[in-house]
Amino acid sequence: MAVTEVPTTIASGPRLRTVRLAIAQVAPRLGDLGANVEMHLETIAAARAANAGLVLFPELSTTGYQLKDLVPDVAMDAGNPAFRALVDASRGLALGFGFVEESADHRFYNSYAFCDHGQVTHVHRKVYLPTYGLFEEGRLYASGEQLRAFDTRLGRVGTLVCEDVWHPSTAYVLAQDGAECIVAAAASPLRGADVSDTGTSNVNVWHTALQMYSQLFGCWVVLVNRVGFEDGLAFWGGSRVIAPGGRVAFEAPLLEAGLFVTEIDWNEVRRYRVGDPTLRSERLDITIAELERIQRQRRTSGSGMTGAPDVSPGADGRDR
Amino acid sequence: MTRTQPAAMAERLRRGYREHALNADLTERVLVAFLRDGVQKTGATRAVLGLSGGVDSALVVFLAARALGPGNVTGIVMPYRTSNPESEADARLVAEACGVALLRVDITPQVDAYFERFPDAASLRRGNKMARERMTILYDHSAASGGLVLGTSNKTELFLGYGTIHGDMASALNPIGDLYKTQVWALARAVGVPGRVIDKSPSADLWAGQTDEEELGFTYAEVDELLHFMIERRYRHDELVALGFDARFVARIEDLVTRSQYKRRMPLICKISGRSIGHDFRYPRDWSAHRDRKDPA
Repeated sequence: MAVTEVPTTIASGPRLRTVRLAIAQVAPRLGDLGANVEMHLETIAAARAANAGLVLFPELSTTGYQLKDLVPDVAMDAGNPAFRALVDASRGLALGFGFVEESADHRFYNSYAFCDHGQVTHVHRKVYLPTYGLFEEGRLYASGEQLRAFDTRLGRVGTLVCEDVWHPSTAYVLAQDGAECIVAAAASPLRGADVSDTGTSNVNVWHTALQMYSQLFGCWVVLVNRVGFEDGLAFWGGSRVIAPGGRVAFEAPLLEAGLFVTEIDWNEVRRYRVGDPTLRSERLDITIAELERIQRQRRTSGSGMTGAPDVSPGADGRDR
Repeated sequence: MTRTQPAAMAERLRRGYREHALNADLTERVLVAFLRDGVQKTGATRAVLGLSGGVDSALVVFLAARALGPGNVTGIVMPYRTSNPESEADARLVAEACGVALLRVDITPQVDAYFERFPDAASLRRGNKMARERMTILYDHSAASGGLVLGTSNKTELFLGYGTIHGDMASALNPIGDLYKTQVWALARAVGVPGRVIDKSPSADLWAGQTDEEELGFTYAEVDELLHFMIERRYRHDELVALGFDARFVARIEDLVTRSQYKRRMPLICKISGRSIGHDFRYPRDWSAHRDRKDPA
């Protein structure tokens, strides 16, 4: 199993502090669950052979991204044999993969499962469903309602799916919930990359946001982005691992598929937070109180179009 | 605090546009991978495309040769009797430069046979007919060789509607449809398209001495700059004028873009049933790709 240091279990003994991480920068086949599960099992076997303790796949890695009306055809519930096969494959190494989740009442979620020891440790349902520009997730999926960090035998982890990352509150909540490592699973299509010097490429935004999270929250950040093409969209890959404080510890190539193995030293979190202890002074009470105030104001303020006065914060330059 | 004069700001913005460089390396990598993936997904290994001697088809054939190997790409030059002989010579130069086979199909007999019955047809009809004859030849050779037809329409002409629907606009994959003409020039230079093909005046070559820019009444550099601010940066009419673009020029381009929208969409289907193509039967186009591979029958 996971390499170096003392191999152990969650229940007893010191935590494993260094893990070999395998990033599966893959190109799933659109709408082909069977082929993708097979690809996952082969990739997991390769990760195991490379002594990885954790293998991470991108968003919707079992189905492909641009599914449109295929969503119900590739959805899985917890009893689905393909889903069970993947969970079972997490014996001896931890595993994260993306899938379309079907709930008992037939809502569909863009979900990410974290498994270990042949058990599901956590499922994150994508909260922010992009429905603008080239995206139409709001017409396909129900939105997740929770942001939770969770314990693994490696350390405390939080998972986000793609657009979640573009809302800084998600990383903030996971960091406050104790995440030492934020995993961002993505299926990000390249946009605005034709112009080299205007900074409009979405790749730049991803890199900036993730680096900032690692700096401000003092945690590891892992981006696992897919590659390949779907309907003219180029998924750019470029998965990366960023150490607490913003150092890019590993960078996978743009556009190329592969299984990339690198190491994460969990103790880096402690070392960084000793030197930069901003986490301990975070004032949740102020944050919560102010957010509740803003929420109250939004609920009571009228729309400018109706003739009601605009009482949104700052409309008249005064605090309310 | 100093106030920026609007004119100075406009000048700075426009200079920023003119000085920006295409990210040629990344763009080339994406487009080569796109062609390889797009062809393989359908189960094909080959591609065919028309070579006009112009820069658009030259860039596409260079990208295709890189993606699929020159032996898997066929260029077809399809002159009409009034075509400029230099166009064919340039097509030959391009094919040799990237190592692909070049086939010559003279479209004169089939075009003239048709217009013998309609001798009064104006040049627009003749030009469109030629473009569509070329399309049928490409699709015939697509069937003959098992190769996909590659499109060569750039983003500028797609926005202006400066192309023939079901003619030169028809293809299976178009690697340059998101590149403006000026970006096509830049990428063509970066991938090694022969300089004389890049430097000559773009022309549909439908009659002697025709050039795109003369026919359109503006240069590609001018219209690409306008389209950059109008489309990419979402500037509105008044904001474009404030940037220093001539109001009549802006209005004309807005009109061309709007009026040619039909050319960029599939035909409309009138919705009758509960689930209709184009309305609420919504599958990805790549849907078929993997099904074909699983079930080759």
